[in-house]
Amino acid sequence: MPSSHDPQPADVVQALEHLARLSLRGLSMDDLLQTVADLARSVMPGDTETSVSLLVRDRPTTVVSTGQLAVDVDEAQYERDHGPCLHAARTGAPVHVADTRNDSRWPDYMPRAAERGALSSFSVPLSIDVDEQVSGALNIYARQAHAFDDDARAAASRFGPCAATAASNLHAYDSARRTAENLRTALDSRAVIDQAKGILVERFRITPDQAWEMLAGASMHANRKVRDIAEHLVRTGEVPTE
Amino acid sequence: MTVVEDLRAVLADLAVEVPEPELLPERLARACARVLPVDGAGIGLFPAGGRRLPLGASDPAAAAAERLQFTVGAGPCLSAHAEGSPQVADEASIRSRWPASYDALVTNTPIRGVISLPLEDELRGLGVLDLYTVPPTDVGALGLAEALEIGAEVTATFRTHDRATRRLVDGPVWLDAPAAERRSVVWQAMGCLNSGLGLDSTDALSLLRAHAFANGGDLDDLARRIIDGELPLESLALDRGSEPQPPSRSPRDDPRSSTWVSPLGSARSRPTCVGWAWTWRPPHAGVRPTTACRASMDSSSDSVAEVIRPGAVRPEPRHAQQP
Repeated sequence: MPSSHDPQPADVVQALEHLARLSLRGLSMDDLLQTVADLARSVMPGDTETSVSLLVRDRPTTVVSTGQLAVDVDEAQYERDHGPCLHAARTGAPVHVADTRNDSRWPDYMPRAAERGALSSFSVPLSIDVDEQVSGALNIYARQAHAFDDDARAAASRFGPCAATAASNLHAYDSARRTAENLRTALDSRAVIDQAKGILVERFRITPDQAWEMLAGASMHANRKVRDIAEHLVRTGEVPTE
Repeated sequence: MTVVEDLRAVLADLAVEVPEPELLPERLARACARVLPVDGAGIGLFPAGGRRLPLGASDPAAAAAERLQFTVGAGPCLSAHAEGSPQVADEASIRSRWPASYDALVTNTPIRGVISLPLEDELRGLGVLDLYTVPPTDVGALGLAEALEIGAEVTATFRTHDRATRRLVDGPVWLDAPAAERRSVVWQAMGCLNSGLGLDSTDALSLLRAHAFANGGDLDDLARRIIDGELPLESLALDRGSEPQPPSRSPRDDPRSSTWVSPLGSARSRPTCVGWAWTWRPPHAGVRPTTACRASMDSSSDSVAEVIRPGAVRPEPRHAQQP
């Protein structure tokens, strides 16, 4: 979700205060993280784009960004499984690339970043949930080389804790929602299989165990999940032939 | 120690006493009953279709209270889920808000107070923690804040447990809790009624409820008797009074002319299954024969083999094994 860019860097303290006030209100978790990315970008000098990457059990995704440049450069790293953003997320150390055209680290990545128009970058590591192997990085990509002086890097780093909290909430929320969905699916699947067993018990005067064997056999034969066979039987009264 | 710390300590003790992973809900219920000023506790889920799945209870009375509310189809536990908000009900409010549930509780248990808390996070919209009081304990003895803290801890305990025993395919291991297995027989009995009486799922559950209620039993027991063939479906059909009577012969008797009333509502002519290679194994000798639903089927002329694939190996009807 790109946002309009204010060419004048905003004041870091003001931006963080704004963020603190926002967090107290009932923003959605995506919105909160997006706001962190937007504000981090607004305090950076030069022409920048920011993104937040999440590494869940080492699988990276970009959860929010301020523009396509950040998404592209993040993706370029995910494809090769290396680069400054992944390094920051994995090691917990900030990574500064002053000029992608003559940095010798990650030789696969640097030319691709330069080609896409990111000439310098700074990645702030986010510690999210060590137990669950979730980490991340707040990435800032600039279209100029040497965009991040000491002050800019210090300012960016101050967004780290806030971004980590917002990302952590988002991850916990998504993960709870996924777990709930899986649980619901498991419950529905068990219920429909039991109901289908009941239909077969009545129809063929067999035990529930034998009904299960029939369903399992039908599932194997039709190469479909037992749940699908059961659902079909409950819905139509027939065992699917295909 | 805070109440949450107390709960963790009790859980750790119980994990030694009853270590089976599928008994986690029972351990949680027992721990809740022990650390809170209540006399019993139970944890249950609400799958789709008006179902309720008990996972574990602290004691037989708490387990009975859950079954009675499910049988009646009303009560604080069901309202907590339906309304998505905690229910704190003393004896007077149970009597006025859920009279049928009240009668069942008073007749069968010493429980006179219920606090039901919808669970959050992973169990949001799915799980409820039920707490029960027996006089002289009153529901007012429990602070709601404390109860909500415990509710959050219950969900967190499931979460931690599931991370440790990651099982993605078939749901968490505690879905195999004995109380849940027992309840799953009710879904099987619903299937029996779908097939034998041509009822849709809603009507099947209603009829089971009505029969269980009228006979002073609980739904789980009734379902077990149906599946075991101890109770002919006809005796249930009689309860339906002036409603349309079930067919005198099972729809399966003549697949060409009969219709299958889908439990999802639509009726369509019931096709036979042909061309399907049926891998059927005859019942093992020594398995207790069942006469499930036999009374509703006065013909044994067709069979799995005939319906599923003409000419396939035909299973022995179960009652044929009887001496």
